[in-house]
Amino acid sequence: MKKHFIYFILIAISAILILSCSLSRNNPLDPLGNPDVFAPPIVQIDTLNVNPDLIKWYVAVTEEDSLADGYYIYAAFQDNYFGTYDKVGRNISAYDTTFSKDNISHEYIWFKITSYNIFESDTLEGKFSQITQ
Amino acid sequence: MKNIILIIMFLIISLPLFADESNEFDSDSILQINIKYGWDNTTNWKNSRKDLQENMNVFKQWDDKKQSHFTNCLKSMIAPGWGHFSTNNFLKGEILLGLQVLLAGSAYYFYDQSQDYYDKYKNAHQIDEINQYYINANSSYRTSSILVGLWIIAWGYTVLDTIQATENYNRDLWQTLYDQYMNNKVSVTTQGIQIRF
Repeated sequence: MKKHFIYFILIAISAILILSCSLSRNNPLDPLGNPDVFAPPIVQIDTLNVNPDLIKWYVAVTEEDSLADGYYIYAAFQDNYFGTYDKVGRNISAYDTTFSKDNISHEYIWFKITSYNIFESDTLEGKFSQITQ
Repeated sequence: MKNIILIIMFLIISLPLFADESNEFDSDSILQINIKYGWDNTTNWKNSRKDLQENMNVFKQWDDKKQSHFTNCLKSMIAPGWGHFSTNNFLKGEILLGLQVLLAGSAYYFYDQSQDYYDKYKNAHQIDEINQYYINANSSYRTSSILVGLWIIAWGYTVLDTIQATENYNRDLWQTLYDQYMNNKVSVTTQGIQIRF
């Protein structure tokens, strides 16, 4: 009886240990851990764009405070569709939603965009857009 | 009349002189039947006393060689399986040692992995990376916690099982010493030399 009781205590301690364990979300840029931070808006590629030398996009802004502070442009080589994307450009205005491919190497084929917001000198980038050419 | 009364009194007083006397004192008749130990005659009593003396002789040896539960538990607390090795329970000791090393090693591996992801999470600036690194870090951390929990159970089991292992060891030791004692025809004790026929 005493032995079973000790086993029960051991299992209970282990269960408490397992169930209570979770890492805290202490990244100051984590919207789920810091209520003062919000996720930057999601960038949508403008598929109606007919100019091949230009990338166009827009953001669906539903709240005033979700307006982006700017955008980052990422690009990858032919073989790197799923691989490494280099940061090749930055637009510092929420309203500048185009990027000219003439500014960068022609070896870059694939592109994707993120919006960003600045919170106390730290930059938080939003979700990547879909990949475009 | 007086003489008749005197004769009758003399006869009554002298009656025990004519009683049937046995040649030997019957101790069984005065020995109370001992229900607890089953001594219903002197032979059993004497045999029990002989057994007790023999057991006492074996007990002295056993008492010197027996292992302490506390010491073995302490050994198992410090190094898993040590208590089992001390009781010559090598296979179980090796299994428990291996299990605990495996659990502790795996727990440390996942904890280290979780810290690696957690550092990346803390330094991440992109929302997808922040979420992904946190999920990875938390997943590894929970796995590590589960393994730590299992390790605690295995450790506790090892310590508790050491009590049983020590109990078995001491029981086997008693049996071995008792068999040795009974097989020895000549034994030297502190009380002298004993020869068994």
